[in-house]
Amino acid sequence: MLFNSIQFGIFLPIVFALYWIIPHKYRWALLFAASYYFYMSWNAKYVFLIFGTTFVSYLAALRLEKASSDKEKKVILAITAIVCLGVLFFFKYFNFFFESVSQIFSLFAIKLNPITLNVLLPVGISFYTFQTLSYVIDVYHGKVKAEHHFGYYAAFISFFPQLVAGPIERTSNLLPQIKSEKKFDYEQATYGMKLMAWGFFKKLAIADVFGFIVDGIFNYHYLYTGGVFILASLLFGIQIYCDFSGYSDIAIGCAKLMGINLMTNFKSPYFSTTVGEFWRRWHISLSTWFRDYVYIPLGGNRCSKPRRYFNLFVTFVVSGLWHGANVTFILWGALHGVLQIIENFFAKFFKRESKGIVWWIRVIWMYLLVCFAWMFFRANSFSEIVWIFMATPDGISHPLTYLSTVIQNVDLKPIDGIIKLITLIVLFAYDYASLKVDVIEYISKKKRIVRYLAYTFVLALILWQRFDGVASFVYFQF
Amino acid sequence: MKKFLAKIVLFIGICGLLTVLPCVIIDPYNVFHWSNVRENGVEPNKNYIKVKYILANPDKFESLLFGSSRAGVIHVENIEDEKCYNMSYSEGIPHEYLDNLKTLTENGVNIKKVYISIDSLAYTLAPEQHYYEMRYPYEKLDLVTFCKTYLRPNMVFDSLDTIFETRNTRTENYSNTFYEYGWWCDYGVETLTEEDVPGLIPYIGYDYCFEEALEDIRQIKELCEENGIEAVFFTNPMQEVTYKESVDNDYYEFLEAVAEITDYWNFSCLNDITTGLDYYFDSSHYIPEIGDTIMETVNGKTHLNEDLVATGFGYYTTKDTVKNLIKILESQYTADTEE
Repeated sequence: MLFNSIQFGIFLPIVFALYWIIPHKYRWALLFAASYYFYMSWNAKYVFLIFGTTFVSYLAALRLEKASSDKEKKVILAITAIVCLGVLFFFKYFNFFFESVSQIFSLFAIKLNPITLNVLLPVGISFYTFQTLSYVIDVYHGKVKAEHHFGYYAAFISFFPQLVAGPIERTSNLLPQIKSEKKFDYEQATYGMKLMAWGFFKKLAIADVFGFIVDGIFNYHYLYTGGVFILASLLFGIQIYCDFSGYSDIAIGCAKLMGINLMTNFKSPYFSTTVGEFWRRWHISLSTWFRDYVYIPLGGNRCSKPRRYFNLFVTFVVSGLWHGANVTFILWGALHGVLQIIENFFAKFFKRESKGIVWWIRVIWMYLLVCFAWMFFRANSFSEIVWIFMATPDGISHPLTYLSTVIQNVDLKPIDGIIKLITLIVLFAYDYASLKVDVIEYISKKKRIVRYLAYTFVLALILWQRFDGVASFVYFQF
Repeated sequence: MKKFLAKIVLFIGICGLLTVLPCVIIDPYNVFHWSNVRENGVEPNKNYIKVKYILANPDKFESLLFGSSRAGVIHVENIEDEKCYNMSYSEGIPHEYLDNLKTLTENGVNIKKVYISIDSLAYTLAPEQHYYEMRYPYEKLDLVTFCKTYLRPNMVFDSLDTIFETRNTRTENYSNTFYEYGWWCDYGVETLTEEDVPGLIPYIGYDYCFEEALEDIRQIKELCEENGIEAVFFTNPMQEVTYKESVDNDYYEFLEAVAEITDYWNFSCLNDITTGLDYYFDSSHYIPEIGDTIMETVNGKTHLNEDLVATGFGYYTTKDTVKNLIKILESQYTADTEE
């Protein structure tokens, strides 16, 4: 059930109405049932996976609290991690792992027939696995108490707005909100509606529309040469940002309708001036998860420089791997790791600028660098990346022809182009303003005519630019 | 909560207005402006508009001409002593003419005569093709389908570029011509030249609905007989490349099978007209002057030169004469192939 589907348009009002009608003590049951129904709409049989992961982690946390020794706690944690990550490995990485082993052996002229499983990747498995692991690890470290009420815990893990593509919530934030009694808050609900509208704007008016162009180039890359790949990469940067942050906004807005505040997942990431800053603004729930559960346990930055760089590199490689079972994602993650290491090494040259022409130059440079890395992320295979890199410089010695070929390949009509440009201006204006203010709050305080004009304008851009069809969200494949 | 729900209602209202208003105002296919069709560069849904127009003016015309855009060049106002309306539209097929005729007769439209133009498109275009496009025929546009098809702002805004690009090519009296006559191509159109010949592509459909098309023709004939409507069938004089492609796709079999159902006037053949560049402006459409010739012939206002008829052009075909027609056409095709 996609957020941008008629089914969700029916599902959400029903859940919203029931949530505020039924007494608080039964709300966990409603959230649990609704969330499982939401999940089962993707593939009903995989509901046993999320239930199994939930049950194992629930029991593990209870056992951890009763554990009499550190050794016992470590064993419980290890078993839980193996079970949860084992399920993830089986569905997501099994084929990739054996193919990679087979390829390595083939380098030594040893032929291995790789074992291939024909299984569908369960939607959201990477997200809820990390959420359960973070819970168990936090209980292990004593940061949170184990939840004894299975219903509350199950509702926390499966909470439908963030179930399939995050934000990956921390126990200390979401679980207490699931348990606490809430009264309907008009301001919070209307904020949630406006945030959902903004999320739909990013998804429908930008991500899907630009995705159509990007997919046409990347999926048929063998038909193109020249600067069109640069354009595709720049547009993919916009597409993936709007797709993913749009989903997050819809999820956060949806949760607010039920009086629940999820964590912010994106903070104007394309206005970063360093790679480090980018990762503090992009997919914050994931980057903080890796910081807290991989980077810091490895030693973080409280060690020698070489060790710190090693920790950084490993963390980003694992992050890349989390995104997908393909060498392209590993390369993408490794590239970000290397860029961060370079930034750390030359830290004195990356002083924080907050305004002025230098800041703008660094913002643009960072966007170009991130989009360069996105080419690895978007490519379907390593050979595709090689093709793209070999083909991109074709014709660059004739800059005007190089540029005109790009425009011809995209075949954008004037009015269509103007509307796309307007959506981009709105997007970047919002994100730039967000560096200083909460834009939704800011507009809410304006006169009614101004507010309604702004809302109508955004709604118009959604309805008038909307991609014809229902496109999935990019991060569902993770 | 009440305030919030009121806001939701307002939100839905704004969304509704933003959806409906541009679709109705811009209306590229003129479905909302069926009584005031505007030329905007986008081909209107002519089937829908014309049927609605005739339903609204049931006594205005005595006769109707059904056909694809090929028949759309026929200037029906030149038919003597007859007020005729050209109901043709792009890729029209007998299945849809039948539905239209049923609608018109069931709603009391006073028709005395119908002209039905057919050719290979009749059996190489499946009706379902039109459901994937914006040109649903009148009978397929129930309320839900109508809203789903035409209340789509993105579709409307996609058409703006076409509307903008063609703003300088508007014809005078478009609306008047549309409602008074229904044809779309005026005299004086630029015809083919030698340079165009290598690029001529045959224009026939990709489906094969041979039996279905024959059944539709049979039902049209029966419907007309039941309602006392004179039905005049004729085949279009297809341009040479399209004609040859049609022959390779069972066109002679089609002509034979139609003759078993109804008499018709045949204009499909290979002669100086159908191979001549001066009589066509693309591989699909003949010029209005040829349309005049067709109408004068089928109405008995003119008798074509015997040599012309001997080529199959203007040949009155019955089930007794169809074999002779096919012989003529086959010998032409063979002679042309040997050249």
